[in-house]
Parts: sequence; C-alpha cells; structure tokens
Amino acid sequence: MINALGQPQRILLIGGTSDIGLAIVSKLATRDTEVVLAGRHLDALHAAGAHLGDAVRAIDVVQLDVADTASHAHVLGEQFSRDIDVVILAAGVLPEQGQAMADPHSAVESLAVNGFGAASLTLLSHQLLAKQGHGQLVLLSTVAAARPRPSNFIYGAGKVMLDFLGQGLVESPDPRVNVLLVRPGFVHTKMTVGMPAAPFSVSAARVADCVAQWSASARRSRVIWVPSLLANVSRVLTMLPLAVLKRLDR
Amino acid sequence: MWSPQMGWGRTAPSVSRVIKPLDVAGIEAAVMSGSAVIARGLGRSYGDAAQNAGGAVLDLATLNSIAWGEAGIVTVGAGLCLRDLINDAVPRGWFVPVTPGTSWVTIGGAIAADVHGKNHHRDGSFGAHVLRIGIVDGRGDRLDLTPSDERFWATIGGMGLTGIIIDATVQMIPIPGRHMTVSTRRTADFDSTVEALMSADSARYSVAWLDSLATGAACGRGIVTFGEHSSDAGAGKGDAVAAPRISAPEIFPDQLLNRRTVAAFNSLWFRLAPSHRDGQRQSLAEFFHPLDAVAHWNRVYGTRGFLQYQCVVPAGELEILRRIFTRFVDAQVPSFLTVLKRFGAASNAPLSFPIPGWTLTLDIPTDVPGLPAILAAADDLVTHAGGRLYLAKDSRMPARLMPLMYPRLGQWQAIRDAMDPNGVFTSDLGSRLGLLRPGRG
Ligand SMILES: Cc1cc2nc3c(=O)[nH]c(=O)nc-3n(C[C@H](O)[C@H](O)[C@H](O)COP(=O)(O)OP(=O)(O)OC[C@H]3O[C@@H](n4cnc5c(N)ncnc54)[C@H](O)[C@@H]3O)c2cc1C
Repeated sequence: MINALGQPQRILLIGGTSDIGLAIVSKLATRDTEVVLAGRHLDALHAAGAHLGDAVRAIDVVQLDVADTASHAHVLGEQFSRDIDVVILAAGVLPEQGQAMADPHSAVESLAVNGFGAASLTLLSHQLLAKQGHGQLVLLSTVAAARPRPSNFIYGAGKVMLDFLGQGLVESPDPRVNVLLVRPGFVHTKMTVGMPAAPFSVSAARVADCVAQWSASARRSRVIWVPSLLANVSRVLTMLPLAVLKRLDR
Repeated sequence: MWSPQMGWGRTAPSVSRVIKPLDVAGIEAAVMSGSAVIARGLGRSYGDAAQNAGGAVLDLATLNSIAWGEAGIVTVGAGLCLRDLINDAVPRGWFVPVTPGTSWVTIGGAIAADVHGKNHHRDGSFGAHVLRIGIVDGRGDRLDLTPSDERFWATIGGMGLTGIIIDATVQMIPIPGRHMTVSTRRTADFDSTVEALMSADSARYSVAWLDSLATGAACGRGIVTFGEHSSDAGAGKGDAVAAPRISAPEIFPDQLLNRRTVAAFNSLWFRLAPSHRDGQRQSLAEFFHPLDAVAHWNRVYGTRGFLQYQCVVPAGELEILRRIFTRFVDAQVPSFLTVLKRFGAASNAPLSFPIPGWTLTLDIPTDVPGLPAILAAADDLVTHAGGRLYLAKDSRMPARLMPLMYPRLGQWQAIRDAMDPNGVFTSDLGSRLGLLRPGRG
C-alpha cells in the first residue's frame, strides 16, 4: 500500500537491469520498500540488486523472458501473491537499425520483445493490479514511437505497440490502477552508450524524477514526455516532411 | 461503482464500492457477499483505516438508534454520530464518558479506535465505558460480546478488522449542566508545561497546546487548560453541540500553512491566551470540540493533504518525549495543532493506543521538505522508549514497527483470525501495516 508520503511498500521492476528502471526504483524506494527485479539473466539481476544495496529493505530476483509470453501469467501471478504497489515496465532491446534491416529475422525478434512481450506484460500487470484493487503501472515508451525515423524505426515499431496500449489505458482508465506512460527522448544509458546523442537527450535520473513526481501524488493516469518540451516537438515531428526529417536524422 | 475514499488527512486515496445496508440483515449479506469489506464511520481517522482498495466499505449511517435504559446506560447504533448522542443525552443530565477532539465521529469509529479524550488520565479510553457490543463477524454470525470475552477486547481498538460493530451499550456519565468551568495557564517552556499538566492531574479534563515553532528558552511554551463539568445557572437552551458555523471552501492554495504562517498563528494564539485564569465558563462545544466550528477545515492544507503524528511514550520516558518534540522544533516543522497530554492506565485491549505516559500530537502538511526522514527519526525514538503511534492517526508508519510498538499484536491476530477465518475484513491500513493474514491481498 502506498502511504501518505507516497512511499510504496513493494515495487516490481520488469527489465530488472534497465538503467532507467533502476533509477526510478532508487527514486521511489525507501529503506522499508521491497524490490523485485525481473529479467532474463539472474546474474545480471543480482548485480543490479547489489547496486541498490542497503537503500531498500529487501531485493528479490525472478527470472522472466519477455519474449516468452506464454510464461508471463505464471511468473507475474506468483509475484502478485502479495501486494505490489508499483509495476515498472522497462524491458526492451535496441536493435541496430542497419543490421535489423539486413536480417529481418533479428528484427522480428526485437519486435517480439519490444512489441508483443511488452504488450503481454502491460495487459497482465494492469489486470493483476486491478484485481488487487490498487496500484501504479509505469510504462516506458519512447519518443521513437511517435514518428518513424530512418535511424531507428524498427525499434520504434515495437515500441508503438506498447505506446498505443499505454495510451489506451490512460484514456480509458480503470479507477483502481493509475497508469503513467512515459515518453523520454534519447536517454543516456548503457543501452545507448556510444551512440550520438539526439537533441533533447536526458539522463535516467531526470526520467526518474519525473516518474517520482507523478507517483508521489498520483490521482490519475497520464502521458508524460521527458523533457516536457518533447510533447510539442513530437507534434512538429509527426507533421514534418520526410525530406526535412532525413536531414535532421543525420 | 468505484468511489474514491480518503481519510481526514486527504492523502493516499483508494477506490471501493460503498454499500449502505439498511439493517443488520443487509450487513450480514454484505459480509457473505464474497467481497472484502470494512466498516466506515465518518472518515475522521486521518489515514487509510476506513479505506478498502478494490473492496467494499460499509456506511452504517442508518444504524443510528438511541435507546435509554436505567442510570445513564444507553444502547446506540454503531452508525450514530457522537454529536447526536451528546445532544440527546445532555438535556437528560448525561454526557459521553469519553469524547475525542471532534464530535463528528461514529460510535463504531470511537470503539474501533478506542478513542481517548482530555480525561484519559482519570477515566481511560472509550472502551472502558462500553458494557456490551453487538457485531457481525467474518462468518456472518451475529455476536453479543461483553468485557469477559477476549473477542470484545480484540474489537475495541481493532480498527474494524474483527467484524462490523452494529450497536453498543455504553455507560454515560452524569453532568450537572451543559457548561464547563475552565482554567487556563500560559506556560513559558517545556518543563513548565509538563509541570502544569502534572499539577492539573486531579482535574477531570486537562490538555496542553504547544507552540511547535518557538525556539530557545521558549521551546515547549504552551497553553494548558483544564476543566470540570458545571451547572448552567442562567444559561440558554439549544443543542449542546451546535452545527458548524462556517465551512472551509475547496480552494485553498497548496503550502498556505508554511513555517511563516504557522509561526505567526502560533505566537498570536500564545499571546491571546490569558497567562492565568480560573473559573471561566465555556460551552461543552467550546471546550471539547472547538475545531468543529469550521466544517472541512482539513481543506486548508490544499491538495497534498496533511498527516497527524501522534505518539505516546511511557511515563518514565519524558526525556525522550522532550527530544522528539525538540527535533520537530529544530526542524521547524509547521504544526499549529500541537498537543501534549497525560495518559492514565492502559486498556485491556491488545491494540488500544493509550499507555500510561505522555502523548504528543502534531498536524503536519505532507509537503514539508525532508519530512520522511524527520518522522523516521521520531519513530526510532518512540520505539526506543517503548512507545507507539496511534493507528487512527497513522498514514505512513513502516509495517516493521507494528510488532515492536504493539507487543500484543500476535495475540490480537490469533483472536482476529478466529473471528474472521476467511479474511473478509480488510482495509488499506490493515494491509499497509501487515495486520492481515500473510498471503492475502
Ligand atoms: C479533528 C479531529 C480530532 C480528533 N481528536 C481525537 C482525540 O482527541 N482522541 C482520539 O482518540 N481520536 C481523535 N480523533 C480521531 C477519531 O476520533 C478517530 O479516528 C475515530 O475512529 C473516527 O471515527 P469515524 O466514525 O470517523 O471512523 P472512521 O474514520 O470512518 O473509521 C475509523 C476506524 O473505525 C472502524 N469502524 C468505523 N465504524 C465501525 C463499525 N461500525 N464497526 C467496526 N469498525 C468500525 C473503521 O473500519 C476504521 O478502522 C480526531 C479526529 C479528528 C478529525
């Protein structure tokens, strides 16, 4: 149960090694919060957990393959045997655009994670939170889902599915579940290391701040852009002629 | 179908279905419906005690009967508002044995929180004056419980988690009239406030207001009042506790109550008080429920809401209480409702809050910078002293402190589980503090 100071008691991070996800967890958690990190590689999850260290009350790790949608109901169902106050969905892969174009099979594999896998986890988490009667669902989308860009539209294609579902949940809210759909710009993380920073890039900590601000007094579902200026930029982007976009896109 | 519920502090809302049973059969049906339920009175607990996320809350306003017996013994419906009972009783020469600082509470809420008043040092808490309660337990069975039954004591202070209280038989106290004779002492610092309270021990009612922002030599200065019931030679008629005169609108800006405004209020309040006055006549409402004059005054705190921190430490731990208070002062936490009071003997109820000692209460806006750490430090001191926090006020304490603060928690849980084997009764407070059976949502 989230208390009067907006402090959650139990958080589930799906994509338990995600830099943004962990930044959000650090921001939301207190020394009385239990954190569950779900992801594919237990070793990496343990390492991520060690990083959170003593800042939280307890850390649990659980194996979850985002692409294996058939397993989701069981894994999440087990975690929901006790209340979960916040579910953060931060799982995703960033396919290299050129390589993905050259190898459609690998492109589809990324879609299985960023698209179908994320969709399955979104809908299941939402359902379980509603059944529990309360909770927050934080979905990490991206500005790349707003408009196909030459440099990353395969990544964007997967995220579109998550983004669309998230928008739907925000716009037809269940009063028991508060959904936050977050659309960050380019975020400096280990996933993007070595890539040239696009305009409007932000740090994971900045994204976490915005999520925490919403979470502390969440009374309704919302879509947010980080930085907030991106809301307007994306409106322009979607209307931009392709020729101009290509020049902007290096 | 889903309706948002909040406590008086207007923090952490959750949604529930609201059921308004018309009679006891309706309550039994709600308990047997398969949904998790909790009783809700007038929502005057500060936190999430009368909330039930995703479940049902039972509004028992229709259970408002009053049936007088001999010698001030009255049987009342659990949904009856305390002010209605007072207004019915006073013309007959009786008064409620215990009243909290507001009359807007139900009998059910007064029992479930085992509320205390300014007379705790003399008369104990509400449950001490209850002769019998009727409840519907988790099997949908109707039970009549008396003080010889451990289920009675599990229900007193049990925060609604042992069953739905439907009615109660209460021993009222005789009063000579509808007035109070009040004495006031303005005190210069913490020590003299404590001393004034101790010397007022023989008074039936006593309490101290503290200036939470006065520092240095003035730290802990306050206004101690004590009172006795008195006759009303020459007084007019009318309800003993009248309806609110004004209502606070919904439009207060956030952070209206900040260090500056509260400091200004506190010193004004302090200066306006007489330094030494005896024999002042006050109405019952003025003495017991001054805040009730403004309906919805909780809106003054804006959209972020506020919380009340109420702790008690054993009588021998006054020094720790002083440290707790001084820390709030040092942090300049703006509280304009800061109260110090002596508690007398504890109740037999495992979850009843009062223990013999000192209780300190502060009203605090939730957006005070650094508040979580300030409160966590206070929690540590309270626990260290063998004290506890009041569940009816709590909205944020960590679950791990529960068994430390309430050593009889396990005993209470065992009785509770027997009364509610299927886990029908749940509340946000119950799940937040781990009062429910593990593994249940
Ligand atoms: C301005 C103000 C001053 C206050 N001063 C004091 C004070 O001096 N001393 C003090 O002790 N308290 C004080 N309180 C707290 C208040 O007395 C308690 O929180 C009380 O329980 C509120 O009663 P309610 O009817 O509003 O109950 P609610 O807040 O609606 O519910 C409180 C608890 O009672 C349970 N409950 C209610 N009805 C039933 C029922 N029929 N059967 C079973 N369980 C039930 C609920 O489940 C919940 O757990 C104050 C509160 C305010 C707002």
